[in-house]
Amino acid sequence: MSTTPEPEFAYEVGAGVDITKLPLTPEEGVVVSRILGRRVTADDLVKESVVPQARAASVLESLVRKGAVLRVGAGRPGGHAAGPDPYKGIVFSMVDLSEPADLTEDQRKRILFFDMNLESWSHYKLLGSKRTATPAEVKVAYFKSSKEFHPDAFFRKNLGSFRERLDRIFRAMKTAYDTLQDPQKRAKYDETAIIELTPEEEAELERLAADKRKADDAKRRDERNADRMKDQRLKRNPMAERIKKARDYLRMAEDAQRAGKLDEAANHARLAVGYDESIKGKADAIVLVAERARAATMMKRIQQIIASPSDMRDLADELNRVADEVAEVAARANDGPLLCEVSSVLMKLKRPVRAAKLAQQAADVDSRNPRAWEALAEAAHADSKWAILLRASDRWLQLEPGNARAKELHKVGKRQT
Amino acid sequence: MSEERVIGIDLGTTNSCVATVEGGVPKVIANRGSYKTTPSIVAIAESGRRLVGHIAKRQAITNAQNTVYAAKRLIGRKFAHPVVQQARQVYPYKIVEGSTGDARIELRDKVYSVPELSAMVLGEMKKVAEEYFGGPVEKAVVTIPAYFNDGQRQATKDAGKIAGLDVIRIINEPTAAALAYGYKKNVKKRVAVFDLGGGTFDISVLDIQDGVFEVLATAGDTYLGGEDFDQRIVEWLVFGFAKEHKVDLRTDVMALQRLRDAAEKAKMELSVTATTEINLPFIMSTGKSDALHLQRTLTREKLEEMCGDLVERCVEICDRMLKEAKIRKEELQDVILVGGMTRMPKVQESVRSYFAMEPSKNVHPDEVVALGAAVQAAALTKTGPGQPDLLLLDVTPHNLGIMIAGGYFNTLIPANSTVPTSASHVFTTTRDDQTAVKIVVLQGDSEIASANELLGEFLLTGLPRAPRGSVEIDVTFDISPDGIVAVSARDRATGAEQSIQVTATNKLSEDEMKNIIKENEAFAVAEKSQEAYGELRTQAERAVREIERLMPVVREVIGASDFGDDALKKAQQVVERAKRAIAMQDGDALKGGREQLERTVVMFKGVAAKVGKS
Repeated sequence: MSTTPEPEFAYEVGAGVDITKLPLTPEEGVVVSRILGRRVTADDLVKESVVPQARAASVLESLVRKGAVLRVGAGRPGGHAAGPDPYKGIVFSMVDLSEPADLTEDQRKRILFFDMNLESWSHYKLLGSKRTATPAEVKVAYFKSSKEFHPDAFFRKNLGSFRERLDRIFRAMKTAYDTLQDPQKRAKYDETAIIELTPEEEAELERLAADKRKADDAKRRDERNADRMKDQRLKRNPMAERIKKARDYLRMAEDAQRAGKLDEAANHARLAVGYDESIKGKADAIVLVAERARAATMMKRIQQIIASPSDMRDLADELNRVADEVAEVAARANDGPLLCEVSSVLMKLKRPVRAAKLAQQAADVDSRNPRAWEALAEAAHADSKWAILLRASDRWLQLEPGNARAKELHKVGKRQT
Repeated sequence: MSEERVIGIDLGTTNSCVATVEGGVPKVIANRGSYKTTPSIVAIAESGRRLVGHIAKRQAITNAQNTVYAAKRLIGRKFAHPVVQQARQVYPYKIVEGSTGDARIELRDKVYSVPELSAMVLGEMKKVAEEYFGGPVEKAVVTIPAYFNDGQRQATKDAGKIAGLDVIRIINEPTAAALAYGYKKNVKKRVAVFDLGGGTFDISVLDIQDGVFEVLATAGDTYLGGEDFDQRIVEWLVFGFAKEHKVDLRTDVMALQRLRDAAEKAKMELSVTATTEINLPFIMSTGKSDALHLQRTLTREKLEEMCGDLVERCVEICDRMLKEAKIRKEELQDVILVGGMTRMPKVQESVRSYFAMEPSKNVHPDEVVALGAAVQAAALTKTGPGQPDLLLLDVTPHNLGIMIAGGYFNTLIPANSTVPTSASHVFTTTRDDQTAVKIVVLQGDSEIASANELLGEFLLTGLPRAPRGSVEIDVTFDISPDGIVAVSARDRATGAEQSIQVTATNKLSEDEMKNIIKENEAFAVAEKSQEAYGELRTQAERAVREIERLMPVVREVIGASDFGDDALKKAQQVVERAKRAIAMQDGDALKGGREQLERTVVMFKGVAAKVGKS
């Protein structure tokens, strides 16, 4: 955009023009309402989508003819033709700009601009002074400001509502000057954090922000490119449709998992594998998470049943089935603690062979887990597998030397072998 | 000449002077007798004719009782004021009490207010200017001693009005002198103006730079000047004569007037010579024997001995002012001498030794004030081509405030504040169901109300009945660039407003002041802490949330730059301080930190907006 040649003309609504009294078309009305209180070029209006490029010239021409807007040189307010527009983004009220007063439009804008910023500007900014300014420099700045804003600069002029604004501005300037001239007051003022940027810092911020915007844009562009390339690859591949579906299901699975809906996630994952075997690893992991969660729940139920002997009798079949299911999950997940738990449940169900097998797996997963060796030893004891009993109780004792049951089983093992 | 004519008038205690700016050059306008100054003397002749200036001075001896000089010493003062009572002893004309308690002067059975008499002098100066221009002149800047209070300023302005002048500004004499001194010279200096005139003493320190004249501090004594020196000589002559002839010359107004003239003349001569003869033949005829003559020799040494304390007082005032304004003598780059009395060698010597520098000889002590007034007049009205950009930043010489419960003085605008200025304060009622408050406005330096000058008082009635402390009254003070005070008070709830232009000045006796305080006790106001804590807290909390929300974005953008790191750290501090203040329920801390919080929010929003994440 910076390559567009500087437009020759800008447009503004002249002081004292009552646009409500002019015969304007709706389109012209919209355009003039956006010019109010500003000085804009046709380009600005197009950029802001106020008016389409094709219509801009003719609408503006018509507005000039009707006397609604003035065509002026494209210079910026305050004679700062070269610098950035000091009033950028500010919409001045037409009421203020057209109030009868012996002031130029620039003076009005300066006064309004200062007045609206009195609250937010620091003492330094108000006087147009650097944070590092010496008292002498502050004085120069204050004198310059005073010449512009002291009521005597408008001696016996009709200022209307601007009189009050000027008084406010000059009073604030005096306060600023008094504070910054007194070393103690200034130190105290500085201490309370001057969160405000100098013009140089503003420029640096502008640069940093531009860098950041560029970086953000670049990132977005890269992402879009990557997606586009992936899409293109998919288009060339006959399996594309299936692979895409698999990817979609997998994403849904991942989303569901994040949302805590583990069963749903497992279902999506299973479906995904159906379309594309190559993502089995990821899908299985999701399924497993769901199964483990389910197994943990089932385990709780089992323990409830076991706790009551009558229940245990009545529900033996169910118990066996559930235990088998949990055992399978535990085995598949290589979950040591769960394997141990299932093993001891199976012992209670008088199935030492299966119990031993699971215990052995638990010991393989973590050979330093005494519970695994304990489970294996108990299972071997129940199944009269003496060699295994001896080995398991031996390991158990090594990990828990003082355990009485371990000693006892170790003795039995030794005796039998 | 189509351009508007504006003049500057130095309305002095003994002499007045008028000047204008022509073609960018300030110049004094001489009167018909081609004198550049005109005596500030007004007389009523036997025929009833009004005489002003040199004519009045010439007939003073034969018409002493109806010749008023030094009226400026009485302007804006109450009859009861000690200064007025003292003047009654020494001046040959009759000072009486006016209907509003002000000092007035009776001449040939007619009572004149002091502004009326000053107006005659101003009118004469106007006439001098009109004769020079050959046309009417209306707009004028009139000078007054810097240490004049509100009442004296107001009265001077009134005098201008009576004289048919549009007094566009009242300015301080030392400031005017500095204007003339620095005008169009591209001066960049800190200067002291030592102004010892006929009736008043002022000392001001100014910074002059880039066409701006900034008064840093001012002090003075409105009853210390050449008149007092003359009075010392008169007393010396009177006592000497009494010793010799057992006659008190003061009982004879004509003799007294001759003594005064002789004293003034002797004083002036002694600025040049070492001794002078005072020769007044036939000063008094005793009736039975021959006439008595007065003949004495006065040496400069004797004069300095008699008036040493007066000069000393000037130096003390200088010293006090510099100390209070925290200005070191070494910072001063020039001392300007203004006023006829600074011709006295003893005064010059004291200034030289106190300020440790040779005083400036660049200005004419009698004309510089009028020239400065003309410069200011031209600068304000921007008449004539080539008017330089010139701005005067003057100060108010006295603390301004109101009386609060207990008879204390609450300063709202401290001395040496740059004018124009204003201040508001919230006060509250001191009794349950109090429906009226009286605002007593004072000017002065004491914490005790009664020790200050009363400017005026006004009543605000119709307040709603409510428990004490719950009615809030906004009192606003304005001081115009003339140094004139306006006060308004408003009930916050009902908006009922009443405003006064403080008009009369007053220095009441101790008893009268006590009475006023007593009778006002029922209407007293008390100070009130303003801002509601709750509102402050809500504001602070909102700002803190906003800052914390934006912090990550801002950090990302500017965190790596030097200023960014600093700004983030400070923002963090601001937030922490605010949080602490909220936690401690510390209203003052919240108030103090509000500006910083708001500014931080503004800055953060600005940064976020630049990367489209506000």
